[in-house]
Amino acid sequence: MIGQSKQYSSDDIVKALQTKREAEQVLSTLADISDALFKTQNSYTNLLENSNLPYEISSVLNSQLADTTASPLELETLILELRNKIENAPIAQVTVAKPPTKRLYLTISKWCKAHISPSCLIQLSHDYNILGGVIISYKGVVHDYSVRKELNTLKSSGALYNIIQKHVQL
Amino acid sequence: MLPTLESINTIIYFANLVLLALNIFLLILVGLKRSSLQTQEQRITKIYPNDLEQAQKKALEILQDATEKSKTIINNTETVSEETRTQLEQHINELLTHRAKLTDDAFNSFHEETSSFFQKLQSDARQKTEKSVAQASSMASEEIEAYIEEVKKHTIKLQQNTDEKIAQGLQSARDEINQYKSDKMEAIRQSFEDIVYDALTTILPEELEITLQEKIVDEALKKAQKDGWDI
Repeated sequence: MIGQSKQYSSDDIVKALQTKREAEQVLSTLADISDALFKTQNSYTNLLENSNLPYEISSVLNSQLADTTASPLELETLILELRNKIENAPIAQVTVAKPPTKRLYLTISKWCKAHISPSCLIQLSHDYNILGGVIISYKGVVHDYSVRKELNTLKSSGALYNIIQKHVQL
Repeated sequence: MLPTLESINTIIYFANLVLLALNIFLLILVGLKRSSLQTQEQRITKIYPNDLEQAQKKALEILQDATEKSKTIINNTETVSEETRTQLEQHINELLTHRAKLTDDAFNSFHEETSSFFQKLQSDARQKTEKSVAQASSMASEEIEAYIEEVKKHTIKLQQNTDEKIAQGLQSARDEINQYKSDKMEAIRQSFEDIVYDALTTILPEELEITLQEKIVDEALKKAQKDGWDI
């Protein structure tokens, strides 16, 4: 809790986060802001605006911390609380074929938060070998929805030839 | 049964012996009579010397008479013997003739009988032979027909077996050809799939546009949701 008029929630901040990297960046930024609050007289809002956090995150933090006069100590408490939640947040390893676009990020994150946990963070990577689609690993279980797997299935079942035959005059 | 020549000769021989024995017997009787008469004459001569001459005369007469009688008897005997011989010869001739006749008759009869017998035998044999031949022919015909029937059955069965074997062989050949074609087609299909697979795995990562990638991810997530993704 930051002061008497605290309106923010660390849960909301975690829900706004999409990737683990982003979460780590937020924690780092918040730690920097906390240090800065000790050392300078800048307001929290100013520090937040000058940070490198993604707009979505900074806006959430802004909206969460608006109208508050967060002291460095309170902010430190928030960081600890947030760190704790991030460390315990469920993380899904997601692999796609190409470096993901922002839209792809959001799509995958939204899907994971909807189907795994609202506080789920994704650890996104890309691998050309999967050809397309997505592979989601969560708690040691791999859910392969890649094009390569689909292609292998089609090939082993003989359906690939039928599909080719259907579209190509052999 | 007719007497044989040998038995007839034997009879004649014994007849001659009888006649000879009779003559000898008569001669012995004459001798004995003469001796008796001489003895009696001597006795009488001694007793009756006078009457001896008369007696001798008488005796001589008797002897002469006896001699005559003996001669007559002998002659008669000889005559009888001759007659007998003649008769016997005649009988023998008759017998021989009869025998010859009988022999001829017998021979003829035998010949006839034999001829008849042989003819009958020949006829019977011919009939039997013809019958046997006919029977054998009939049997042979039946056997041949049965054999032909058997051969037909066997041939038909053989033909059926051959047809079955040929059908099996054809089916086997067809199966082998189909299997070969199927294997070849499978190998071609496999090769084709491998080529297409390799091509896709090479081309897709480079050629797929990011928007299409995003679309594929969207589809994959929908599929995951549809599969009952449940944490």
